[in-house]
Parts: sequence; C-alpha cells; structure tokens
Amino acid sequence: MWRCGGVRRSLARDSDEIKDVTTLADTRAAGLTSTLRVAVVGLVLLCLWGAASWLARTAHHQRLQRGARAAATGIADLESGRVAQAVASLREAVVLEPDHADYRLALARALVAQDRDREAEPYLLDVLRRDPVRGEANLVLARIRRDAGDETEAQSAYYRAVYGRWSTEQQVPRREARLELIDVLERAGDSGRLRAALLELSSAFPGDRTLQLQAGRRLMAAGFHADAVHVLRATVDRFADPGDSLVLLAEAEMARGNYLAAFNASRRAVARAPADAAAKALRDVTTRILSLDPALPRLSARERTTRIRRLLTAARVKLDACTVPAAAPTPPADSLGLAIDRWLAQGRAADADFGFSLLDAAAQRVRSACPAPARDDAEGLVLAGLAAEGPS
Amino acid sequence: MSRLTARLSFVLTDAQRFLILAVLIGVFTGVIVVCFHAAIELVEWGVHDAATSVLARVLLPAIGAALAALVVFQVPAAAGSGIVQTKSALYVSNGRIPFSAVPGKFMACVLSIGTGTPLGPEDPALLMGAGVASKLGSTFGLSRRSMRHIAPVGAAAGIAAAFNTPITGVLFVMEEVVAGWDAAVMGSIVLAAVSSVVTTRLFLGESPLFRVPEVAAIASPREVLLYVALGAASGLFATVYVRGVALLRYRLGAFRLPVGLAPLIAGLAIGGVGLAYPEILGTGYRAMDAALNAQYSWSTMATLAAAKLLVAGLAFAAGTPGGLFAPTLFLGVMLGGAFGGLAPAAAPLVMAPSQSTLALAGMAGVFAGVFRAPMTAVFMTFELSGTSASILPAMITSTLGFLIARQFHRQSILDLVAEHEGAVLPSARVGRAEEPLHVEDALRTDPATVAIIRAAESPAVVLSAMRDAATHVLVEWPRGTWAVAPAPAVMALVAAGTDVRGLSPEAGFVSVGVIYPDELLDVAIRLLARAPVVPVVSRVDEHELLGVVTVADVRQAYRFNDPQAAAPDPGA
Repeated sequence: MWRCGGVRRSLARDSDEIKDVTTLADTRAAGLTSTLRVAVVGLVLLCLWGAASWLARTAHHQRLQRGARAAATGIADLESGRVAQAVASLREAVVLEPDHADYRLALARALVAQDRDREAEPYLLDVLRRDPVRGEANLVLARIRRDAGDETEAQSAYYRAVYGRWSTEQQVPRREARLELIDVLERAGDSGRLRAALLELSSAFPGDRTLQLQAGRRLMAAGFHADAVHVLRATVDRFADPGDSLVLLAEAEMARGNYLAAFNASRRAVARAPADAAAKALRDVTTRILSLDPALPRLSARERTTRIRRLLTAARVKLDACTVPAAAPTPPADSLGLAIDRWLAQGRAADADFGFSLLDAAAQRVRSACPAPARDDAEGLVLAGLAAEGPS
Repeated sequence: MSRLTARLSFVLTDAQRFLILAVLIGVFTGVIVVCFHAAIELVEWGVHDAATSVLARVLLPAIGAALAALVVFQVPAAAGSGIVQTKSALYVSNGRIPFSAVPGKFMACVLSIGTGTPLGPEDPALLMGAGVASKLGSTFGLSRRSMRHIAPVGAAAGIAAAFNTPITGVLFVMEEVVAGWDAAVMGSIVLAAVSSVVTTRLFLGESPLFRVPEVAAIASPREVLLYVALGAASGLFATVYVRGVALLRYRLGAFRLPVGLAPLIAGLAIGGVGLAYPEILGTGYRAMDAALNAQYSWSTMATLAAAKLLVAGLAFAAGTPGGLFAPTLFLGVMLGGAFGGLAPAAAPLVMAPSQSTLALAGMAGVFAGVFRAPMTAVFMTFELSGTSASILPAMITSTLGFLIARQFHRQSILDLVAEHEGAVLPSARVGRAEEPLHVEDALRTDPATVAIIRAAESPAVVLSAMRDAATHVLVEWPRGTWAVAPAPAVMALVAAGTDVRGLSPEAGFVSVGVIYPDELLDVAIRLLARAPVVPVVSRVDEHELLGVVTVADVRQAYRFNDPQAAAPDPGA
C-alpha cells in the first residue's frame, strides 16, 4: 500500500515533470514559431522595401531624364519662336518634374509669350513661393502685372526682380528688368523714384557704355540735367571711345546753362567725329552763345556793352514779333520798349550797367511773352539764361 | 528573441496586437503601392516608346488588357473592383482574402493600366492592402472578431497610399467598405492609413497626384448658384455614368465570350479613341492636372469627359482589371472645368470663380454621385487643394450630386457591381425599410402586471402599491440597483411584517440590470432571459424610472401577436 502509494506519487511526480516538460516544449515551439513568423515577415518586408527602392529610383531616373529632355526641347522651341510647341513640351516637363522650378518658370515664360498671362501666373507664384528672390520669376510676374494695368504691383515685382538673385549668365534680362522699371516709373510720373532708378542703372552697369548713355539721355529727358552731366562725364572719362557721350554731355551742359562746358564738349565731339552734324551744330550754337553772353568774366567794358546792345536789339525784335499787333501795347511793355530804344540810340555813351538792367528786364519779358527758344537760337538761349538767373 | 515573442503574445491583448498590426499593414501596403505606381509608370513609358506607329498605338492597350484578363483567369481572386472583395471579407468570410489576390491584382493592373486601359490604380491598391492585412492577421493569429475588421484596415492603407491622402483613405473606407462609423476599427484604420502614406512619401515624395492651383473662396451669394447648378449637373452625369456602366456590364456579360476576348475588343476600341484623345488613356492624372490648371478649353474638356465616360465604362464592363476611382475623378474634373469655361458666357451677371475651382468642385460632385460618399468627396477636395476655401464649394456640389444621383438611381456603382457579382453586401445608403427597434419602442410606462416599490418604503405603502393584477414586483434597492420577485412572495413577506430591505435572492428576488430608452431592444431581450421584468431608467437620473419592459412588450413591439404581420408557418 505504502509502496503503491509511493509508486503512485512517483508516477504523479513523473507525470507532473512530463507535463512541465511538455508545456515548456510547447512554449518553446510556440515561441520559435512566432519568432519564425516575425523573421519571415521582416524578411519579406525587407525584400519589398528593396524592390520598392529600386523601382521608385528607376522610375524617378526615367522621369528626370524625360523631364529634362522635354524641357530642353521646350526651351529651344521657345527661343526659336515656336511657342505652341514650347508650351506643350514644357507642360510635359512640368508634369514629369513638378518640383523643378526652372521648368515651371520656363512654362510660365512660354505661356506669357502665348498671351496666356492668367494661366502663367500660378506657375510663377509657385516658383516665387519657394524662392521669393528669384529675379527672373519676379520679372515675368512684373510684366504680367504691368500688362494687366496693375502699376503698383508691377513696380513691386520689378523692384524684387531688380534686387533679386540672378545667375551670372542672366545679365540681359537683369538689365531689362531695370529698363522696364524705368519705363513704368516714367509712365507713372514718379520722378523721385525714376531719378533713383536711372542713377542705379548707371552705377549697376558701369562697364556698359550703351546703358550709361541711355541713363544719361533719360536723366536729361526727365529734367535731371546735373545728374545727366555727372553720368555722362563719368562715361567720357571711363571709355576710350565714349560714342555719343560728348554730344550728350554738351547738350546736358547746355541745358544747365553751362555754355562753356557745352562748347568744350561739343568741340571734342567734333574733333572725334568731324562729320557729326549734331556735334557741329552744338559747337556752332555754343560758340555764338559764348560770343553773345555779356556775363562772361574778363570781358572789356566795350565788348560787354556791344554784347548788351546786340542782345537788346534781339530782345526788341522778339518782343515785337511776340506781341499781338491788333492789341494796344500795355504801358509797361511800351515803356520798356521805349527805354530800350532810347538806350540803343545813345550809342557809345550809353551806361553799360543800365543796359544790363534793361537786358534783364527784357529777358524776363521775352520769357513770359515768347515761346521757348529753338536749340540753334543763340540770342534766345542767352536771353533765356539771363531770365533764369533773375534780375542782377 | 523567442522568449520575447512569447512574452509579447502573452502580454499584449488582441486589441493591442491589432493596433500594432495596423501600423505594420500600413508599412507593407505603402511599400507595395510604391512598387505598383512605379511599375505602372515604367510600363507606361515602355509603351510610349514602343508605340511609334498608329497600329501599335491601337494594339498595345488591347494586348495589355487581354494579358491582364488572362492573369485574372489564372488568379480568380484578383478579379473584380477590389472594394466588393473587401466588403465580402468583412461581412462574409471573416476577414479572409486569398493572398493570391495581391500579386494577381498587381500584375493584372500593371499590364492593363500601364498599357493604356483608362481605369485607375486606387481600387486595386485597396484590394492589395486588404489582402496584405488578411495575410498578416492570420499569420499573427488574430481572433475571429479582429480578423473581420482587418480587411478594412488594409483597404484604408491601400487607398490612402494610392492617392497620397490619408483622410480620404480613412473616410472612403468608413463610408464605403465599413458602411458606417465603427469606433472599434476607426483607430486602427487611421493608424494604417497614416503609416502607409508616410511610407509612400518616403519613396515618392510629398507631391499629390496632381497639382491644384489656388482655390478662391466663395465671394458672393450669386456664386453659390453656380455651384448649385454644377452640383445638379454632377448628379445627373453620375447617374448617366452608373447606369451606362451597369447596362454595358449586363449586356456584355450576356455574350459569354472566351477569356480575354472582351477586354481585347474593348482595348481595340480604347486604342482607337486614344488615337484622337490620348489624354483619356491610363490613369488620366496628367490630363486632370492640366484641366485643374486651366490648360484646356471648355469644349476640349467636355469632349474628354464624353470620351472617358465611354472608354472607362467599356473597359470596366468588359472586365479589364482596374479601378473606378481615377476615371470618376477624371469625369468630375472635366465636367467642372467645362462648366467653368461655359459659366461666364451662360451667366454673365454672376462673377464666375476660376475654372480650376469649378473643376475641383465638379470632381467632388461626380465622385459623391457615383460612389455615394459625399464626406469622402469633400475631404478629398480639401486634401488635394490644401485650403479650406475648397470645402464649401465641394460641400454644395457633393451634397447635390449625391442627392440627385440617389434620386435617379438608388444603388451606388459599387453596390451594382457587387450585385452583378452575386453578392448582397451591406451598404450605408441602401438599408431595409424597417429600422432596428429600440427599448423606447417596447417601453411600458404604466404596467398593470408589475408593481413598483421602493426599498425604503414602509410595509403599508408597499401594500397600497400592490395592484390586483400584479404578477411581479420590481423593487429598487439602495444605490440604484433593482430586483424583481413574484408578487405573491412579496405579499406574503410584507404581510408577515418583513422589511423589504432584508429581502434576498433566497426569498425569490432576482437582481436585474437597468436599460435606457435609446438602447437597442436586443439589450432588453438579453436581460429578459434572466428576469421577467427589466426597468428602464433615465440616463441623467438613475432613480427616475421611465417604465419597464417585459417579454410581452417585446413581442408586441415586434408584432408577434399581430395576425396580419405574422408570416405563414411553412410547417403548418
């Protein structure tokens, strides 16, 4: 009984041990199976990851190649004027490479060339969202805004283009941006900004003679004669062949009333280009002006009186020509005319200082009553200069 | 490692493993979808380079479609749209989808879509995701309940990765596959969709399938009229599309052509149309991109919409592998774009929004009309445009598109396809006429056979509360717990002067749980199996007894006693 009990206990102990071993084996087997599953899943994921990488890379490479090819074709078409084909090719390039800003910009340019500004704008805005200081994109946007009549926005875009980032081989469009901004400012009549833009144009491209001349010419046209003289003098000094700079400088100096400097410049211009009719005309008129001007220093009293006399005679003729014959002469005009006549009649005995005062008054009267003198009207120009200086 | 795995399987509950698995499913699906997209793209370029003659351009889509059909013939699990199989897995086959569907669908769709079949890769990606999910779920030994939910998780990952829009993936699966809002599966679906999109973006970048230009917000009330008109047009167009596909599918199915012949013939027709309108071939993403960026005139877009309607319907009806997602979006974009081109001339007094904005709104309208998934349509528009300004136009067009399409055709295109494939699957839109009953439908506020007493009341009050017809007594014990006992037993106890507070199960009292009026009647039936009377209390005050429910009340609510409603007994 005891033995049986012992056997039973032993068997039970063995059974428990077997059960324990079995449970452990099951657990291990289950663990192994789970491990195997995880390993297989991991391996499959790894293989798929590799395949996806390869396929995505291959597709991406293909896309890049085809995009570059389409873009090159499109840009070539655009440059040769085949705008419709350019738009089609560049559109394909953009679809293949949506993140390529150059393609988007080129497409926008092509669309603008096709007068599809509204369609081009989103592409430009996209480029500018990523790169706000991109000069070329701002320039194209400025043109769109300008054509749409939005001058304020156009000016802002032009300024961003002017001060934006350009590559070294993009000097031509960069220059265009400045010139177009100047046009816009000219149209808007914003003389302050226009002057600044012109001076910046001159300083931004110091080695470009054409631009310097253009800046000088436009400064003159806008009435900034001193700035024009400054720019043109620098051009004359900088370039061995200053081109039209001397003539322009002479004109600018003349406009400032600096006839001696104008004469010198025109003389140099004629010396450089004897056949230059404009230079010769300038030289002739400045020579005549210099021979008429009574205010020049180091003149003898007799010479000064002679010049006053010539100018008063010319002023009298002009006043007679400008006054309406039917109308009765106003007392002051009449009295000035009589005074001039009396002074002229006095001959050599006439008082030079009184004559100069009469000349001042006559110059003022000519300026108010007569049209502005022509470019070759030396007497008229001297009178205008005296009137501008005011009574002495 | 093995110890760790064993410990993990011991430590983690089924729900936790389900969540972890959702992330893994997302990663797997994302990687597969990357392969899928890249493979389609590579085949497309190969075909583009090979199609140098007119004959080749006509033949290649046909050959691709026929080969794809042969793949499906070899792997029958890869047939169909993908959404129907996923719904079947959820409702019929306990989440099981044959894994062969994944490589089969992959191969078939790469061949068909890559060679120019005008269908989309989204629905196939959905099936592949569901297939991967099913495989991983069974590999890691999920419970049967979790397995049933695993297919939608994979489906969401698939659609999100294919479209690169996680919210759209989640909503589409909730609206279309799960056919409702199931909180149990929602978290996993979101996890899977997000992880799949993140994986896809690692390979393909963050760019969406097509670029949507800036969307202008609705500026004036008059503009709303345009969207209303577009929504109505979208609904009508969706109806034409759904009915056309259904008609073609039934008509072509009646011919019983040899395997691959129908796709071959359809492919030849598609190749022929593609000669004139190459934009309609393949997924059509490029054409959609162009339309959204106002690169087509309204007449071109209208023509493309008509051509795509024809060829996509033909391809799908012929059984060529591919999805309906992309063609539907294509039709919507073209319809909206054409509408946008016509609007300034048709309604000069209305300041029309941009063509792109209308194209996007049209996409939402037609999508909602075809798939009957208006929420997905709205959020898809939002995700694609990246601006909330697109939401209001999309809401108007998708709601109207949905309502008008449903008015003319009750079933969505997927319900039609499922029906054609012989399955009757649940749908959020097409339900039974009878709604499920709730507790309030069987609630009896003044029951004659039940006496209700409070435990704190004196024996005299209890006696006065007893009615002659009362068969049961419902007693409220302290702390809002309830018990029920036969009326005679309680009467005897009270007559003997016993305090009801001392009553116990030995005295014949059975504890009973409370129910609320808004709960399903099923809850009450389960409690009635244990107690003859169930108290119905207010959700805001547990001491406020609203009434009771008995078995007789349940029978009456289900009209078991109504001779007119009772079905004839077949055994009689």
